Amino acid sequence: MAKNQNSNPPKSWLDQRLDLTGLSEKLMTKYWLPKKINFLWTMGAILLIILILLIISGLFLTMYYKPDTAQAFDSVNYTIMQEVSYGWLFRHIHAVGASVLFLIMYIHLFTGIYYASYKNGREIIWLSGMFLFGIFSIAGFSGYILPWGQMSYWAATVITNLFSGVPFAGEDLVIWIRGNFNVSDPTLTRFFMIHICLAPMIIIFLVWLHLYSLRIAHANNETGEKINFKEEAHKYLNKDKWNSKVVPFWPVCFAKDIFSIGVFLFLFFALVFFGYEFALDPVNFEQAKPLVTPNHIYPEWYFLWSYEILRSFFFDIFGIKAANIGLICFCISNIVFFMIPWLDRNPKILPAHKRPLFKYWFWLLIIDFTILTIFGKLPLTKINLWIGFIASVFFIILFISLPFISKYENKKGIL
Amino acid sequence: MKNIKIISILLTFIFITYYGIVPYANSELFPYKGPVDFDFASNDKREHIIKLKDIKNELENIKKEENFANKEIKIKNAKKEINNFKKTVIFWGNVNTIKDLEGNKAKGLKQIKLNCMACHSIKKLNIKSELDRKTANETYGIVPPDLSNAGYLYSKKFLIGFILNPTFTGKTSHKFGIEKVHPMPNFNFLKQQDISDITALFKAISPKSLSGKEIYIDACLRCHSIKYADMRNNTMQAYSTEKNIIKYMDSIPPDLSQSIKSKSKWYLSSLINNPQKEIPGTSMPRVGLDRNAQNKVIKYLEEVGDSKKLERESTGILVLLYFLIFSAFAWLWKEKIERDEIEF
Repeated sequence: MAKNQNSNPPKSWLDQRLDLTGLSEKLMTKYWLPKKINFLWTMGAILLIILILLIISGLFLTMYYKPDTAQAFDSVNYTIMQEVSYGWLFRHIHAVGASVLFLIMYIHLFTGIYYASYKNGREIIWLSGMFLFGIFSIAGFSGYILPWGQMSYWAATVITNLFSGVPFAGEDLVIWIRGNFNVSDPTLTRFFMIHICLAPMIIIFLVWLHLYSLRIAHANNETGEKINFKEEAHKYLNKDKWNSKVVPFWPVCFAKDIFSIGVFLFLFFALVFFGYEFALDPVNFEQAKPLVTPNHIYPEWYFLWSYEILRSFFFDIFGIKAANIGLICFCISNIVFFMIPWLDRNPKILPAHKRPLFKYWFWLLIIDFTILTIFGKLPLTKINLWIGFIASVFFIILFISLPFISKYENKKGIL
Repeated sequence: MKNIKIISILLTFIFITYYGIVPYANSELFPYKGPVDFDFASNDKREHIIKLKDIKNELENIKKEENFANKEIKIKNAKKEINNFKKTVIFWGNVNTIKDLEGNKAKGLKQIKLNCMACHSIKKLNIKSELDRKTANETYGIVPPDLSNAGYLYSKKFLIGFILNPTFTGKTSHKFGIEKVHPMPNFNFLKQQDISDITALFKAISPKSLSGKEIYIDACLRCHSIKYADMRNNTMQAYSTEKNIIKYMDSIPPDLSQSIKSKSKWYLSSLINNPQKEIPGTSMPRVGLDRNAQNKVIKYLEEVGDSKKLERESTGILVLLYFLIFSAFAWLWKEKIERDEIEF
């Protein structure tokens, strides 16, 4: 075996074979990040922590969960929640973790939109992030079915039934997805497979892609300034830390991340122990009854905005059925976030507060998003229907107007 | 400073969304249906008065009504409602007179042997019913309760009301009538003094205290299983089989193992106190538990449905303390790193 005689001190056995020093430089000590970033840049680290918590708690839950319509409910609510030592803790971490993951993902996503961190080379970061959002949605939805409560069953019925809107093959597609004519045992087992095998595999790949593409395009910063990372890193290494615009991930950003994670975990566990009700819907503590429809069917809170778009079209327009318009707008509203890098026609990277029109666009989007989320759960009274309808149409209009707004900004050169 | 500004904007939006989808949405989805009232007489009168107010408004508008048939129906309904109100007042007035009579428990026992033993047992006095549980279940759909604890579970007024008219007091008149007869007939043919004697006996033999589980067995288990209370031996099955009870109820009463989680405490207490208020038209009778018994039974539902509550709360404090200290050290470390690496 070749021994590396030249290095001083001599490299360790593992280091010779795995180049750990080189790896830690790449990942930690010489991974450069802009100096001008705020705490919103630690959301990625928090998301990674949540993912790890979800995987660990999920592994423990899988040890006792039974993917069978006759046993699923009791295996969750009795075996895991009451019999197994600290089984309740793992379930609470898993349920609250899923909910909080979406909250932080929304913050992460809107931070990206606010600081325009999706263009000029960062498109793959954006796309991989959006695909992560999509696959997490699938994981969240398939996981929601597993306890086999009333809401599990009816959410599965309503959502799988959406596919019947697909032209030509709709009805067959629904049966193919359910594995039966209605939601039943085969549906549960396949959703179990998706939740614990397919979705996690894709998620881990996409997380890798997300982080890898970030290394190439580098993180954006508060001002949107284009930084020459090589030059700035050189300054930093030559002890001109004050003037350098970058800092190494280890220890500077790592320390910030750890502090953020500490505060986050404090809040997170406060929810896990004392405020978990928002993540565990009461209706789902009733076992699934295919013959009894709950009075109100609603998804988990993080799907409410798109659910509201889906259901808010309550009258036919130009002979197209209301339900189909809803379905089309639902699809558009979910796809349109993927397209933001191409809808924003302003080539400059600037935070929203420095863009004369985009700043209004951004805050209107946030307000509309909040309204849609809230009205997605409220009962469909006449006023609520109209508010939901207007908010949904406005949502679509916002995205249609984005290319024009951003192009106008650029043309006028008001910046 | 910038971070604080961002955090406050974030928290504002999170709070608005939370308020919208939890407290506000719940108040819209499950509206408040009036107070929980353990004085059943005053409760019934209040309900009627609310209805009468609506009817009064309707009658005022009726002059404008063009359609003659509608007018007829509305007047008929109004008359019926006024009649119901009168009946309620008279009924509970009658109950009150009986309540004020001095009861004799020895005579009460005699009356019980004459009138109740065909169906009910009183284990405490070694009185067996002539009907065993299985036969009763098959005949009536439900199992008649043992009366040993009746004096503890129910107020005197409720007991008297129930003996006089079970469907009226239990609020199940909509279920029973000509086609279907309530298993227990109205004992309004008894003398007022006899009824007073019977209740005096119930009160005399009532235990000093009952646990939540005992109350559950007496008041709920005849219809509702609670299997999580004993998963191993399966002893907490409903006395009435599903096949039989569906004849009586037209539906299968749910297992209550997780009811403390699927319903709020407030909802449970309102539902037990007056099922018709929360689920109009339900087959569940007003059980008539008094405040003390009802609170105990809800506590028992919590013990069964949320058995790890104490463990959760005590572990929670420790975990939060840990992360508080963790964050404090993380902050100190971050400050040190920033001093060393950026500013120096």
